[in-house]
Amino acid sequence: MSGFYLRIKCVACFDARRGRRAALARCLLGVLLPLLLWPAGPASADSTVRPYTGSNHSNSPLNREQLRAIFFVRQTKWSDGTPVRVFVLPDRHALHIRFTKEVLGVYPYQLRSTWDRMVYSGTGVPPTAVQGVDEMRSRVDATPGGIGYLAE
Amino acid sequence: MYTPIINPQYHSGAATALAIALLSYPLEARAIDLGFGDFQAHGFLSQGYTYTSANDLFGNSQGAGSLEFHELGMNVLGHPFPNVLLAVQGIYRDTAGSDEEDFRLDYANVDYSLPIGESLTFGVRAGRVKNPIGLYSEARDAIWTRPSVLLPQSIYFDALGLRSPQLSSDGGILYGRHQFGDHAFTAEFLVGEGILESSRDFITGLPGAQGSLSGRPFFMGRAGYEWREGRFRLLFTAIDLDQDFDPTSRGVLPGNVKIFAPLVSAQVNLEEWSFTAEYLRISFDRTGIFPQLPPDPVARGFLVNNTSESYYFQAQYRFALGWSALARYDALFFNADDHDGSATARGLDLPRHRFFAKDLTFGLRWEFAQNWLVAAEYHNIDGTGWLSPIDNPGINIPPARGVSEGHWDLFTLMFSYRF
Repeated sequence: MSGFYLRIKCVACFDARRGRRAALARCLLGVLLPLLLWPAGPASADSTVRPYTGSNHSNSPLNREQLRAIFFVRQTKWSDGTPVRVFVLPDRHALHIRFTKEVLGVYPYQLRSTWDRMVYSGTGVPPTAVQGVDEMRSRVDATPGGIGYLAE
Repeated sequence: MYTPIINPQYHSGAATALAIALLSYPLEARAIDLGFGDFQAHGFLSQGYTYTSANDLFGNSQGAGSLEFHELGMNVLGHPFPNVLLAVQGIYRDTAGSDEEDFRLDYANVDYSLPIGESLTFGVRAGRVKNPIGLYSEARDAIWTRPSVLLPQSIYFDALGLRSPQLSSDGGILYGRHQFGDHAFTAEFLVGEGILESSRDFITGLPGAQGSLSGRPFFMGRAGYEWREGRFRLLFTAIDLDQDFDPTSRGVLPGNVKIFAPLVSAQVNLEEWSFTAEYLRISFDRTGIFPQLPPDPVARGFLVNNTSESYYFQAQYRFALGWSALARYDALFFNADDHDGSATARGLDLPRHRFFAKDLTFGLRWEFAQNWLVAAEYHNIDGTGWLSPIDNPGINIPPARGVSEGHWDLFTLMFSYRF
């Protein structure tokens, strides 16, 4: 029992230390990112969220059915045989929510529960989580067969 | 001037920054990227607290409550080739008398899938595989995939010996999926060797009878329809088991047990609300085993040829970001023809409340940071049908000779972290 609590405590301490170190940066990001993603200006409000496959992989436009197969990670390779590598933003990220609802036509929690079921039942590999739009762009660009989404 | 003004502001600013940073925009990665292909490692760590007003669940839960409810898991999954999936998960779980297995290999399987055209996929999965049963069985030991701290116990037994055979099997699954537009039809068929050791009492119907079970592998099938990736979902599951019992206990006869269990599951997922219902029947057909049967026809029927009935209705409400509430009514009747248990109890000289359990549950769940959650639940329960006799040694004392409480309250709390 005591070993168990110790571990809990260690995890928490570790977290707090890291948190304090990066507190300011995180806070700035936490405040600025939503502001950047939900600006008041009409130009950005009209922006569309689109799947992003980077510069290294040219695909014909994907329809909703194909995108669902990819983001629910049922499709594991492209037509040329390259493995599909899916990147997603955190569940609560505004762009993730918009992509899920507007492009895939599902609720974010449907994706989350499907990915979680796969992980804990050994039936699939969920997408790789990235922390922001810049990381999304760079990871997709750097990964053959990579796909994510960005706002334009 | 300098110190009193700046310092408090600095401190509260830092604390607020930390709190905002941790709670509103945590930057933790979700999984450990193993660096080759898409291979990832995930884990979870859950600690439960259980309090009961009467009877014991997961340890000595009366009085100050019990902390004997740990669930830890670790897995690695990835595609060495796009169509081949390797996955392995180990779980450490301890719930006192009802689960003393500690560490176990939960799944270790290789999966090969073959897409045929755009809409059809077939696949095969082999090794130690998770059993395809209903909505929640496959990933049930991680609270992240179950709706509540305790799954509806009428179907997903946690305290009874029937738990282990529900979880995994050593065998193979053939599966298929046909997707067109918003519609999908799915089917899975499992042939496997079940993990039956801990459920021998339940299968033979004769608690304490020692011996071995053998026979053909068991079959399990699940077929379903899904609209818009699970916005609506309908599933049919059937489990078919046929085992011979070779006793080593004196006075117990060799025999055979056939079990057939159909399960229907339905779920509607709206933006804020989810509604779920499942209905299960388990039919036993036993020959031999019992050296003598009770004279009472209801009691004899219960041991030899009986059908139980279980169902629940559940509503979940996601009322704020990270928050959800749950209400559920869950019922189990060990004898489908004797819901209040009176005739069966009389014939077997056992307390009536052992033959059913009606559980009204209210729960609250809060994912207070990415990958952290706390969930709490209150259960008002009439009946002790799904309680473990190991945790409750006095529970089977005949009504004439003792007191056992059929009405009880249960409060449970769970804290979980995952990566």
